[in-house]
Amino acid sequence: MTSNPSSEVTRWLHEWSAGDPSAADRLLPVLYRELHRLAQGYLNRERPGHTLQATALVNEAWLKLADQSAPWQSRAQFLGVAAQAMRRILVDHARRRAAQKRGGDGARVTLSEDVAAVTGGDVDLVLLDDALNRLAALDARQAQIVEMRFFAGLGVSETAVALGVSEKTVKRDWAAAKAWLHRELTRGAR
Amino acid sequence: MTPERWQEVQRVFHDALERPAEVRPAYVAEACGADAELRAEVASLLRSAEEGTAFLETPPEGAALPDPPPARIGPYRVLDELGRGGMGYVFLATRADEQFKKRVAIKVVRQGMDPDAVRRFRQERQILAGLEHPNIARLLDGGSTGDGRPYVVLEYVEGQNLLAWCDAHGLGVAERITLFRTVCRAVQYAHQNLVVHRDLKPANILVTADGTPKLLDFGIAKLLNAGVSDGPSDVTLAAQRLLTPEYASPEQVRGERITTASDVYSLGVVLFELLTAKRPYRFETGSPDEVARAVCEQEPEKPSAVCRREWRKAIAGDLDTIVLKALRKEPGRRYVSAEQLAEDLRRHAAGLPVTAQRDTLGYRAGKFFRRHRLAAAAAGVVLVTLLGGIAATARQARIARAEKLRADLRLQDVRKLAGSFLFEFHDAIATLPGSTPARELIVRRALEYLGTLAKEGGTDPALQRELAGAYQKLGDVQGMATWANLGDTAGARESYKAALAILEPLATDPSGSPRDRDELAACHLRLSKVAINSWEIETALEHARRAVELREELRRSGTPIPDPLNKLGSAYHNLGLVLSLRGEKPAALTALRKSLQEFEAARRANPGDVHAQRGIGLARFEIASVHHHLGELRDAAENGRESLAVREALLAADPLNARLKTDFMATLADVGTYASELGDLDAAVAHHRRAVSIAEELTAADPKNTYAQVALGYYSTELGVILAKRGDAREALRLHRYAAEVTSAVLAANTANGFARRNLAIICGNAGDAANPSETKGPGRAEERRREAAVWYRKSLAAWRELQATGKLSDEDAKAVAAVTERLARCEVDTGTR
Repeated sequence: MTSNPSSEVTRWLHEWSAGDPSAADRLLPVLYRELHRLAQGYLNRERPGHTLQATALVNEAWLKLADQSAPWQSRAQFLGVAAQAMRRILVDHARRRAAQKRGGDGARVTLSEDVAAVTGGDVDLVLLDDALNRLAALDARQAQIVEMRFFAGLGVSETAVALGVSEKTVKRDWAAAKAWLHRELTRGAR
Repeated sequence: MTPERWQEVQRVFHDALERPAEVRPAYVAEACGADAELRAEVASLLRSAEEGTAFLETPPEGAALPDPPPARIGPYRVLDELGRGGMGYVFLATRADEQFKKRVAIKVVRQGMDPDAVRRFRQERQILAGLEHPNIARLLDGGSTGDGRPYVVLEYVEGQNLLAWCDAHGLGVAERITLFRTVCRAVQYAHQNLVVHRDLKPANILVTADGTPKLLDFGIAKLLNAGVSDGPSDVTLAAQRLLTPEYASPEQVRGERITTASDVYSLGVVLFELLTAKRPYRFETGSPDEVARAVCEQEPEKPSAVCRREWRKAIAGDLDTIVLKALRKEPGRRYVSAEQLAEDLRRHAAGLPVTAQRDTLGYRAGKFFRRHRLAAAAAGVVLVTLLGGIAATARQARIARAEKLRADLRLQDVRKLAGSFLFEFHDAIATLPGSTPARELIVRRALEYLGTLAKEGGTDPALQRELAGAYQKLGDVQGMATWANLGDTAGARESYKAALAILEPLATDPSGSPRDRDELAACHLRLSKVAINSWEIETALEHARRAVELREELRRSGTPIPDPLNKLGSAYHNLGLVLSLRGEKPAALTALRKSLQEFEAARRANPGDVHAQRGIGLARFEIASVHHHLGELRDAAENGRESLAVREALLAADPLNARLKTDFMATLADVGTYASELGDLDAAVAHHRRAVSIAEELTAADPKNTYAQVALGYYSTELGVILAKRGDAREALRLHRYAAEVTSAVLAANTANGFARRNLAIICGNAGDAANPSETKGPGRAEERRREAAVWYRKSLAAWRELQATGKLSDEDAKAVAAVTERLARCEVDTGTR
């Protein structure tokens, strides 16, 4: 853990731009850890009383991890992986909390519990995660768009650049994916 | 839904969305035509689109991630976060209630832990707390956070990392070595206290302002590991393993067992870097995968080949050899300890010869095949070609009489090469799991050609000796009972007898070499062991006595032979074993104690002597077993524990060695049995579980290893019996079933295996007992359980009967048959089938 993550990230981004798709797989764990760290800093010290914004977090990770020599277009790719990492972080945490609740272990309070809780608005992140996996089987790009728009809070244009598609495509896919996921998540409630 | 159908749905969905809300239903109805399913699908999506306008539009907020740094941990006030890894956090803190702001480092595990893990963590912490060394950062305190996560408080060291400090102070080669030896001694101290660092790297070796090196994080990696329950850390864990593998040993990179040898390896990397400012391997991309691969496969360069020019002369030679020895891929071939590494460095500094030696040709050949395990069989082919050449040379020698002298000389050369290939190469792969068939091929071919040579070469004693040696090796592969073999006991006996026939006249020849008597004793020992295997106890005793006599004669004559004490130990051990099998327990104990004495003398003469250590493990093991037979349980347990400790340490130093694994497994099972009889069921279960899992590993690694398969069946059923005692009838029955399955497979392959048949009879009897409600309490209806028990008892009796057909049953076995018969009758009466 002593190696400087920044140079590693930059190297991977270079490799990735050069067409090595496995670079993304190696980037993910680093980002996962870094985003974790940033998120906590956010919550606890630097901005007491403020809630965490996934967008800000992902941007901060970018500034911190990639140095100036990183190719510009790789920022978009970076955001894609960061979105994936954010999804994993948030869903894992939600899963764990759900498991704790189910276990009914009231005496065990994690250190973070009194600080904040995961909320995705009214969305059950665990169910959403499962539905997203199903959506990915129908249309992988749509699932990716949800990952970027929702979990990493990216705008339409950033998402479009990251995926190398037009903004119109992003909008259409987003609308369809949203409707499909909403239907999936509310199906049982009807 | 298929992706194609989803495209179709979307097309209608998007078209509909572009129209005003009020005309959408009509449009959808028209667009979908008769496809009612499509219409319903689109309609439900449109409804969701209307209702869920805000859905997913705001990213998850206040996403609290677990475990922010707390303000306090126990009585400590947290000042800062120093870092974090996959397992936990490190905080800089000070004692909140103290006036002196002495700063400490606190490590806390990341996740909640189960009670078992907490207990392990405490145990480990206890061990670490015992580490008191001026060059090791101390463990000061420990406790649990409010939510029950254990933490450790460590001395906070302010210093510079080892490499940076050496560079900053302009240290030369000699000064670096001196500093490094201090580090080695600290590591050695920890190893003696049974603590392995697991993560040695320059960043964990700080040098304080006054030049004192301090090792950080001793055993912490394991400590934190002990505390980790499952969770999302898998990702980070895997990444951690791959992200900084530069200092990790091959076994670590592969996720195998980590031992003190792993630390020796990491020390080797640190030393390499101290001398060269480079890491031992060169990479093209430096990707974690590539680094991991290099660690496991690439041969490191010589430090002198990559160091700065002006140091080249100082490093070339001894220091190259020392570093490369520490960096060997196989744990067993590195320095046995950090101390020996330090000692070799001291010898080098003092101008004395060092113990490290370059790899031999035979070793490198062996290693090649170790890496290419499946190609091991091809070794035979290589050898055939080589030896074919030899035989041709021999024929040539006969035909071309005119050139006889020259041909003879060539013959000698080639024979020497063949011999060294045979012995070095065979020995290099001998302990490798899965190598049994390859070994047989090598030895058999070698023997064929040596036989041809013997005919050509007449009575040349040197050639005769080689032939005898080859016969002994062939016998070992065919059927040396204590080790992986092809189960051909009769073949082994013939091979050993052939060796004996060659050796007897050589050994009795007064002009002969003492080595012949040495070999003759070894041959008697083998014949004795083979006789034990086929249960010819009288023959076994004869050879055992002869082996001891020959060895004592050699000792009295003061003839120097290699390794005399260990050989005496082995001979006495075997004699003890045979006596024990004959029922002469007190005499057996005497012989075994004599054996232990010889092995211990050998170890005193050379503390690093692995053979002596193995001998001690073996002698203790048998002594325990004899005590057990005599009903002296406490003595049995004590000797068993001694044996277990020695054997575990041996295995830890050479974790891939299947033979050491087998030894350790056998002791585990015995010690488990003693514990069970002493009433310590928990220990019994734990030991047997380990034994079973090792047997599984061995069988998986070498499906032809019949010994491991039989052991797997036997240990499983023993575990089942103990679990039944603890009241877990269901699990017990599952284990007996498994044992029966495994053992039946052995029998199917070789119906003559009496050992396996006897085990099967016992296993089925055990299974019957586990199912039988009169023997074992358990879930399920009594009547059904009795029916199942009856089935097992019948199987057991069938196996006993078949065994009886091949010979008389022992009294003990006859009792077992009577018990099974009686229980079967009861079950049949109770279920109304009798």
